[in-house]
Amino acid sequence: MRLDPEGNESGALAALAPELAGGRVLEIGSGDGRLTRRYADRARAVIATDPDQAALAKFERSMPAHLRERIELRAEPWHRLEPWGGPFTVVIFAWSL
Amino acid sequence: MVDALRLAGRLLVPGGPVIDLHPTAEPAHVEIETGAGTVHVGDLTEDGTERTPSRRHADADAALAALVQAGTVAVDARREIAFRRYADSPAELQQYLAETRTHSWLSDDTRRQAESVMGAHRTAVLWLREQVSLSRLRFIRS
Repeated sequence: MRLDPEGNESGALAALAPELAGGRVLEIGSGDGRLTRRYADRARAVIATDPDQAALAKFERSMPAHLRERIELRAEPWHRLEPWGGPFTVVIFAWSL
Repeated sequence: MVDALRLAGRLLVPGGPVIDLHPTAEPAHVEIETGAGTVHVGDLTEDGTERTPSRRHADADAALAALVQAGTVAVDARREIAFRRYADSPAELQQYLAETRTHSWLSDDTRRQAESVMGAHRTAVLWLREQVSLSRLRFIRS
């Protein structure tokens, strides 16, 4: 399977949120990191959350080396979200509302 | 959903945006590009429960509309895109959906229709298309 090879989703995201570049990002519902991987190299830091620990484990295993220092994974449900070190520049609800 | 958005607003720098991405309530379409045009061979079948994708996505739209109506958030910008999942065969798509979805699936009828169209066009390209809405939200008050 090939998911959105045209990059329609990440292109629209970049256009709607230029703050992603250099920003501190909270992504809610990251799952296996399909979307995260497409923008994280432009962000300063990303906290990717999902209550699905299996999906996060898959994300961890497949994370490119150059993103490992930039992305932090947290298996938290939405009601336990915190600033974790400071307010975020952008919050993304990734197919999770 | 409303509570999740309100909490998100409290975690942001002042004026920072929330970006919401979710599929629209439109069903997911199974389509094939034959070289002579795009053929719609069917939609995913849904189980009709409250966890059905189209119902969940309609609920997300309603939650967002409620916050806008209440003056809690403003929608500063919105886009809609086509999100496609490409499969090499109807069988691959059916297997993928069986592994990743619990409330919608590719029916045997739609699979047979897709196989028929692909069998008639050697260079046919099969995909599942969902329309996805992206909104940039600004909190007016929490």
